[in-house]
Amino acid sequence: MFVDARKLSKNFTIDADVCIVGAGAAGITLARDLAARNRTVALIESGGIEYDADTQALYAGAVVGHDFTPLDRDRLRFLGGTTNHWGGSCRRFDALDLEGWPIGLDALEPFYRPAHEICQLGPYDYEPMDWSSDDARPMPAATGANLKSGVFHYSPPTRFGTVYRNDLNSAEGLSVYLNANLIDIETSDSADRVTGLRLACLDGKQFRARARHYVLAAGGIENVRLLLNANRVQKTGLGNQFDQLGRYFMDHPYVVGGATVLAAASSPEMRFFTMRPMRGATIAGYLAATDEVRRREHLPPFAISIFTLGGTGAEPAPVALPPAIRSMLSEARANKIEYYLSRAMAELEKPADWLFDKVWREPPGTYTTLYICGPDPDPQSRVTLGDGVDALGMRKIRLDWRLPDNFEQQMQRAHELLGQDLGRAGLGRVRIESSATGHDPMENMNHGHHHMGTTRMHNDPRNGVVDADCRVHGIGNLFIAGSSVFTTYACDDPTMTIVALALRLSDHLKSLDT
Amino acid sequence: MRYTRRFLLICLGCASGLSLMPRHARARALRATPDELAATLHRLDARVRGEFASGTTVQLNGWVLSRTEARLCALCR
Repeated sequence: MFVDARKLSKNFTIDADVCIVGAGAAGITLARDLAARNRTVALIESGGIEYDADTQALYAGAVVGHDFTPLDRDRLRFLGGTTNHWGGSCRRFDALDLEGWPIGLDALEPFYRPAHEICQLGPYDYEPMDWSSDDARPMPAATGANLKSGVFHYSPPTRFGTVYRNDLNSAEGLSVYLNANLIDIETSDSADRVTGLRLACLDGKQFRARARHYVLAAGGIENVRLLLNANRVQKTGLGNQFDQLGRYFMDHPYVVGGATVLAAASSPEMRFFTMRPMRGATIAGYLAATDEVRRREHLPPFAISIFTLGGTGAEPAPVALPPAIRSMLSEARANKIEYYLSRAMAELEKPADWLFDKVWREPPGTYTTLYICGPDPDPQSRVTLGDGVDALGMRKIRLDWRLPDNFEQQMQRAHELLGQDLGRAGLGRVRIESSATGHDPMENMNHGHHHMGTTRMHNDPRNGVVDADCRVHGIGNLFIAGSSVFTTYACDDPTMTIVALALRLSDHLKSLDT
Repeated sequence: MRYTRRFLLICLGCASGLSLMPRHARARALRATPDELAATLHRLDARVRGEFASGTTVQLNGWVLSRTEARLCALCR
């Protein structure tokens, strides 16, 4: 059932088996699963059913590192959390993506399939050849190739607060407290157990929650803020005895226009990258480095998608970004990119026309790339407490996002590998764009709005905040759900892995009761 | 786009592009029958693909070219 916390009596105390803070993808998944296992669950949500500007303002903070979207715009703070504006891209981590984690793919695999269903995806099938058709097929897999094909699945996208609202309302033993903000985590004197949560509404009303197990599922930045603000016993913040809390913050940087690709306009291999419906799913292909190349070249996990600029005539055609790309960009940025692409096409189309007419015997296709990656974890890329407090008296956050100095070089190398594979297959040629070619792709750099790594999973508390069970090191009954536990970041939207990890955590919490 | 245009010329098997070939092959190619020209281009294509496969590539004005393609570009200048 839903409870508006503003209508609770003063000093009310919530009692439950499990108290979960944050009703986004992780919190809602965990709450539904635990309730289905006959646990009483209190799901605490800062916002209401709909967006509210005053609540959203609680996310405000300072950005001091690499350019980043203002923190009160980057995430959404109401039922469903950031799934209210996610793009829907999903992909299963592979074994190499989990290198450095204390768990392997075998620990996650059983939960990916149900996570697939929760995210309303089609068949659980990530084999690229299974998504081949007459007009769209992956590049031929060749011995010694640099890159391998993969597929992203696309969720509708699932708005968790909308799709699962009826479930949340009707599930036995599950109560969702709206407009309820966590303002303190109370612990035993030795801070080895959480004894309760102090909660408040924006109107000043305060109340408490007590449970056997507590789960923070408030997002990659907010989880840190809540723990750092809970500093009455552990002065540096809960779970921060080794100064790991808030470190290793990462988002997925992405760049549109890192390379221009000339290939046949009707190439099935190029169409493989186009988002399309098939077998009850919506999928799109991508290319990633083979495991061998990633290891040999010390490259981060990355994915390259190739999409057409449209138009094949001698004169440059009007350029419009695909809706999926455009939706990822601000209007001003999208317009800027389209202008830039038009100019690039004006330069490229004529000779390309001529070549393809003579050699490939069909009109040319001019494409550009989208490169997205998960850089190596960097302890200096971090979230700390900053100046000022919010409307609830909680100290605001300070984000210092850092990217590797060689980010652009690694992106260029990825595109060089792409050029070699396209040349080998006779499918086309690649031009790596840079400031030297007059089209600096770094001007089009953006980020995926995925907050990861700040409470990273590691067996050693000196290198992480939670253990392999997502339990905060040193605190027996405090757990964390969400992408803040990611040890490394892969190269794609984290939502499906967040859901899989939440289901795994649910299993673990159930095992503690038996 | 100077390199690009030359690269495109080479892909057509232009006379300059054939200058890398042994003299007797070039002479024959210049009087090539369609079959001979096709065979020449086929060999060139195989060589280029082989270089891409082995990573024997260079960058000219941002274009990722096989070494042979780049050499042909240079000879076109």
